[in-house]
Amino acid sequence: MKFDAALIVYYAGLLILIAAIAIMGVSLKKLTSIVKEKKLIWLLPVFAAAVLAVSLASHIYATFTMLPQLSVNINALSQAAVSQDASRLEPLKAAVASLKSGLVFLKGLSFTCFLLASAMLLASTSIYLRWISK
Amino acid sequence: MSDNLAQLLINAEAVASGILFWAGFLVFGFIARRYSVVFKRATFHTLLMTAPSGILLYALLMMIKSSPVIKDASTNMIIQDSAYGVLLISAVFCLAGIIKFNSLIDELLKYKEQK
Repeated sequence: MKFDAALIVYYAGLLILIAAIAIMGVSLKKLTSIVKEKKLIWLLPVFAAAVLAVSLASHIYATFTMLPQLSVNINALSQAAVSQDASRLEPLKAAVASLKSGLVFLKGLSFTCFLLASAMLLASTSIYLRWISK
Repeated sequence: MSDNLAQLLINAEAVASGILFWAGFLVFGFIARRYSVVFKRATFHTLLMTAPSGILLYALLMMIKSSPVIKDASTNMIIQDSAYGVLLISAVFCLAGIIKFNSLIDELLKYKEQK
C-alpha cells in the first residue's frame, strides 16, 4: 500500500476538524445549560462530526480499495486489448466502468456529507446566537 | 448524469460547504465574544473567528484545482497539496480555540455552582 504524504495531511486535517466539531457540541451543551434552554441543539455538531467521519471513511475506502482495483483492471484491460482477447475484454470493460461510477458516487457522497455537516454546524451556532441575542 | 455535470455539482457542494463551515465557526466565535464581553474574560474569540478562514481557503483552492483554467498537472498537485496543508493548519487552530473556550466554560460552570 502506497502512502501519499499529502493524503495523510488531508486525513489528519479532517480528523482534527471532526474532533473540533465534536468538542464544539460538548461546549454547546454546556452553553445551553448556562442559558437554561432545554433544546438539544448541541446534538447537531455531534451529528455533523459523525457525518464527517462517514465522509472520511468513504474517502479512505475509495483511495485504498477502489483506486488500486481500478488501476489493476486498467492494466489488465490494456493487456487484453493488446492480445485481442475478446473473452476478457468485455468483463474488464464492465468492471472498469463500474469502478469509475463507484468512485464518482463515493466522491459525491463525501462532498454531500461535507455539505450536510457544515449546514448542521451553522444551524446549531446560529440558533444559539439567536437565543443569547434576545 | 454526465461526468461534467456531476463534477460541477461536487465543486458547488465543496465551495458551499467550505463557506458554511467558515460561517459556523465564525458564529461560534461571535458567541465566544459575547461571553468575553459579559464575563470580562479572554475567550479566544479572535482565534475562533480567524482560524476557520483556512477552511474557506481550502474550498477556494479545491475549486481552482477543479476548474478548467489550470491544465498543468504539476500546478494542480501544488494547489491540492496547499489546500490540504491549509485545511490541517486551520483545523488545528479551530481545535485549539474550541478547547480553550471549552475550558473557560467549565470555569464559568464551576463559578455558577459555587454561587
